[in-house]
Amino acid sequence: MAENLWEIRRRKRMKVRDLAAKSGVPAAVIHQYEAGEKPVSEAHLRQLARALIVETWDIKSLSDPKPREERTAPKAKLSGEPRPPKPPGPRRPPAPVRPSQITHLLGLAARFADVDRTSLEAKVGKPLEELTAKEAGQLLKELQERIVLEHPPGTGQPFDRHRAYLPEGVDQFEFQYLTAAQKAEHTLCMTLFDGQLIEGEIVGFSPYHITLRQPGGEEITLSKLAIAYYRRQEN
Amino acid sequence: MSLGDYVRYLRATKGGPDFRTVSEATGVSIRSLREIEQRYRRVGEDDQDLHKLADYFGVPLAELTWRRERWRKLLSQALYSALRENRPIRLILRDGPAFEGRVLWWDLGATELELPGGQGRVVVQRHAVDDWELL
Repeated sequence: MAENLWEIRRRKRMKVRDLAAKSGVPAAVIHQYEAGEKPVSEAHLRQLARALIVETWDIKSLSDPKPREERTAPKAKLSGEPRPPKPPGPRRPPAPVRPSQITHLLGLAARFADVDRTSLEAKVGKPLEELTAKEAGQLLKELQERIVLEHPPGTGQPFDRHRAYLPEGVDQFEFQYLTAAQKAEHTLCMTLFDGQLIEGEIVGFSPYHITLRQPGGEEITLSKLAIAYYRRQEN
Repeated sequence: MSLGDYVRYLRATKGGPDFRTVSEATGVSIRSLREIEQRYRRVGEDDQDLHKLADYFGVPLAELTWRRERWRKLLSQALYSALRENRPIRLILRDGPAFEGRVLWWDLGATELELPGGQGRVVVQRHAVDDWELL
């Protein structure tokens, strides 16, 4: 005699998410079947039967809804009604300003003739040491935005740079240097941390490695982390 | 060399154990290890963590605490000031020479100095810089 889907699942000691993972039928759809909201489709019937190790005719096409006290998913979630708000937990105090943020603020302020510690503290109404980390972050953001406004990218100034969230941003200038050296076929002399000297022409490079062709024709790839410094070989 | 660069160097000299291995050996959390190596601001505030790392890597604690005061952003600011104000800077490399010259360019990985007296130019990898001084 055919049984409700949820009865078979519970007898097999499976959770909805386990049945969903095993059968390939989405968990939300299984909930709808178990709630009796729609009949089980033919394709899903075969998948669910295989996952539950029963015959397709053992599963009722249209389940009787589970008894109310046995429902695990809140009804509001299925019907689209918003859940009641969670009671607020204990609030953590805001994180205090980090010393490095103050150093950074003062460093950025030094770029402007009209900004210093006094003016920053007058703006926020308290000593910088009493800021929260969030307030300091906001001040930093304002100063950085002002820098971009006054020195827009692409104006060719020596300290023109963009945020280093890409490897090209991290080593923008070294990239240009190595590109020029590669095109001009300059010989570079690399000094490694262990004192080794390796010289050659650049074959290729990435943000993390440089490949050189040594005078004997051999190629060697060096990790930049192994390199202390390098110079162009003067002919 | 910042604390982060130094810990990365020590990890490499020990055969390159990953964060999990170091964490299990020292008791320092993976999160703290990642913060120490990857952040450009001042990190490593917990002296107990630095103690554990110093023991693990077999270096004096002072080597770590000294480098904690030289976080990467500080060097960036020094290079920026040197470039902007056209002031010479001295870069003291770990286990190597010191270079004194004017900054031609810098980024987060390296900087090029023009050395005085016709000595030419040199590109210094920033992770090799132990200490610096604006002149």
